[in-house]
Amino acid sequence: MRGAPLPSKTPARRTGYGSRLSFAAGLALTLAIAGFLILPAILSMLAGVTANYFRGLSSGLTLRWVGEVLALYSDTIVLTLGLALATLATTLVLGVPAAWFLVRNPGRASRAIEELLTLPIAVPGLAIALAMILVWGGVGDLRTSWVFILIGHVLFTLPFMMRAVVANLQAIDARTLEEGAASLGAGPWRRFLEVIVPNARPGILAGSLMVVTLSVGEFNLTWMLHTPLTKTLPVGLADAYASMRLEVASAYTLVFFVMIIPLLVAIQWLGGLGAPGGKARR
Amino acid sequence: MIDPTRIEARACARTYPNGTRALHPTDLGVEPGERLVLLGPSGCGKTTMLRILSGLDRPDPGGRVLFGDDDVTDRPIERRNVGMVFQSYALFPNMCVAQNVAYGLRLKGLPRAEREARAAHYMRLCRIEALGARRIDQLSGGQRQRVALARALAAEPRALFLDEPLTALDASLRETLREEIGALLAELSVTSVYVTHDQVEAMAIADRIVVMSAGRIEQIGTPRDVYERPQNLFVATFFGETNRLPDTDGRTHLVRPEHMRLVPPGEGIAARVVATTYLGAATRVTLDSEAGPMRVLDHEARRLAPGDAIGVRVDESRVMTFPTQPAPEPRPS
Amino acid sequence: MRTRFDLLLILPAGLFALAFFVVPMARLALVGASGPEGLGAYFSVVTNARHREVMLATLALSAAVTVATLVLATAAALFLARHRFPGRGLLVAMLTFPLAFPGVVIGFMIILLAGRQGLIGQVSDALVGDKIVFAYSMAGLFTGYLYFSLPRVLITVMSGVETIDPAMAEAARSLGAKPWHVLRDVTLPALKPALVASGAIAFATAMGAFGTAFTLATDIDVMPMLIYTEFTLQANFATAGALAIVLGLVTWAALLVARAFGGASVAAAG
Repeated sequence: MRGAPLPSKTPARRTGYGSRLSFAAGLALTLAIAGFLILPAILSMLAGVTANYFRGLSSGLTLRWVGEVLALYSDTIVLTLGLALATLATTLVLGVPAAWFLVRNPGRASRAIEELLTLPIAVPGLAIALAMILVWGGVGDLRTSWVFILIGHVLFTLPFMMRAVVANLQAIDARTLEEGAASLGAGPWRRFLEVIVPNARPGILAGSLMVVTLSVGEFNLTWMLHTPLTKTLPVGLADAYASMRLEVASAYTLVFFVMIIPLLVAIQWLGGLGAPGGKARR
Repeated sequence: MIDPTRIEARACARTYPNGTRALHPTDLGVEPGERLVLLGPSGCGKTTMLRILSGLDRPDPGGRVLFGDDDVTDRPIERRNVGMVFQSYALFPNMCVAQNVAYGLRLKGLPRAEREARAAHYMRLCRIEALGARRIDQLSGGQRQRVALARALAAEPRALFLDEPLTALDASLRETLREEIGALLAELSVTSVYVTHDQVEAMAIADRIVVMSAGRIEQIGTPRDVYERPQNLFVATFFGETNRLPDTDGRTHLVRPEHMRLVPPGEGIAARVVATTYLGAATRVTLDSEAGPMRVLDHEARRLAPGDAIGVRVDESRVMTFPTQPAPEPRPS
Repeated sequence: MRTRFDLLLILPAGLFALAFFVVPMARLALVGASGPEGLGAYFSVVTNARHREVMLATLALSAAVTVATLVLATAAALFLARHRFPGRGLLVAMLTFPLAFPGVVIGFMIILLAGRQGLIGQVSDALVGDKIVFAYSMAGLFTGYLYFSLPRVLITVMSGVETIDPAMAEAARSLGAKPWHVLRDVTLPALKPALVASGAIAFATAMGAFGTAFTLATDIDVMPMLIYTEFTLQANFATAGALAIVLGLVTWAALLVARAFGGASVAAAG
């Protein structure tokens, strides 16, 4: 009747015996870390709308820099969004069936395939980009096309889509679900499209948010793969950081935040980064 | 060996930050070597009392906790030399069984040989001497709780506190272990405070039972006292089974099933059988009577079927009478 | 039982990975051995003095970042798990907000903090008349990687702390354990999988990351920058290829460690 023992009571109860000193020290450290993480972001947002950062906020607020960024870099914003959507579409087509394959066929072969498909997040983007340029750089017009960057983004984000869907399918016991559908006479394709995919929607949504967020921010691969005509937003950011005045660089960063923060909030809201065992690319 | 200590709570209360009182100001004494059981439904304050006595939680200002003549109120648990056993076992998974049992002795800085000898002694007492090298995840629930008990006893505490130690175990294991624990605590004569919501467990373990409800003590007494002479309606209905007879003059009358007898139809209170459960030695009969629904034990192997007419006779000398409304708050505790 | 249907499920992703990952990486490995040193190029991090120096510096930097992140994140996570106070939710949101900022942006954050026009410089200039600037160096890179790793390690450790039965610490205390003993004997052992897993991810990221270093300064001597300059500036494909493969092996190994210990807790770290 009784299952596993429950942890007793709430973890954070006031016992009355904790020392004020240790609370104060812990709070100070945590606040310092939060300040370290949040202050520069606030500074950059302010700098992006300040008339002159050197003189400070007293020089007045302005949207001039944001306007300048939109004039100079709007093509990078368009390309970045387009790339993110194309990456999403491709990872859906490749990743969702692959996830169903891995859940349907547990075993050593599946683990090996999963490891292979996950490897691109373990290997530095720089190495993958070099390898791609060596093999595909001379094939047709691929090198100068945005599709070249798309391939890189798909390689890097596919594992995140796949693992989010695999986790979802395992959590809902999709194999039993499929057996139920099979007993009713549905063939494998119908079972996949009408039973598995609809039930994997939360995983697909989580994976999609992750894929779009990572694609929008991807730099490692993109820097090596881009050409002057295929610049994405992070590539433009690197340019701006190197060559533009601080206010323009900040305004550009602000535009990036506006794009990425809703995605990050949505991911957190969905319950953390349901992502595979790898690092997010920088 | 273990030196039994008298434990006392004086005016101990505990209020949560949001203002709810988990425990109203309460006095409670535990005699040296006594096995005291705190019994009550969840939220009655029994675990709060245990945590205050052990030093896990501090009472509200004004409350004191004494170990013998020693006022330990300001000392957290790690400076009280007590033992604690939890529902979730709380064994350390990074240590083997023997290391778990010897952990308190290691903290005391005992030399290795003495540590091992003492740990072995208490592992024998708790019948886990063969498990010393096992990892915690290789143990069953019952074995885990034996390890937890050995670990708490090995430090030879001034008092032992057990918080629902058997609740996570299945029924048959619970029965064996509660008898063993009761016997072991008596043999070691360690002062112990045992929290449970299970009255059978309480009766098996306790020298005295403290029945609690809504942050207050309702009654303190031996199991027999509490069962046969409940002081109020709450204790009478919470502790053991009762049937309620019709109220008279604002008074409620209760009678235990064993003080009622089935008699032929036409005698006693007229009733009709609703259901029967065959228990082997007796049959539990659920009735719908003139006086309301009732449960009676039948020892005479009558063959009754739902719908049969029957009579019930009550042993008038065993009827327990209480004011119908429990005394309104505030009450002195 | 594998069917044609199963094959069709995995084929698109499989072919994609084969064409754009397996074949190119194999080619990169061959190119790495095609230079004047042949296969010796793979051992240049040992034999070549400059490569060795850069590799050691990168390893030292990554190890330092990992240790610093683990210490700070664990302290903050334990604090947040043990206390409830007004504003706690906001604090957690602030701590996890920079999760998944790309490296270039983090580089810029460090410039704003410790660059020539940075906050630290301004404050130190006003206080002691000396402008402290450390963004464009190893110290800046260290700060950047700390910035990157703190949120994800914090999240992993916080969820790790939440799975520890509080009765375990209470049991240790009942046996006489001081707070320091509880940390050593209960809390840290219970957190070990989360710490190893998130530490390995922090380490791998610091080893292989490129964006932050690129933003801060192109002459910081870390492996990714060395590979980048060998490839783009020196057009030294063989050296760049060999170094990239070696670096990839190091980060992969670190992440295998993470997975061996981690499972779900690594997944949470993203």
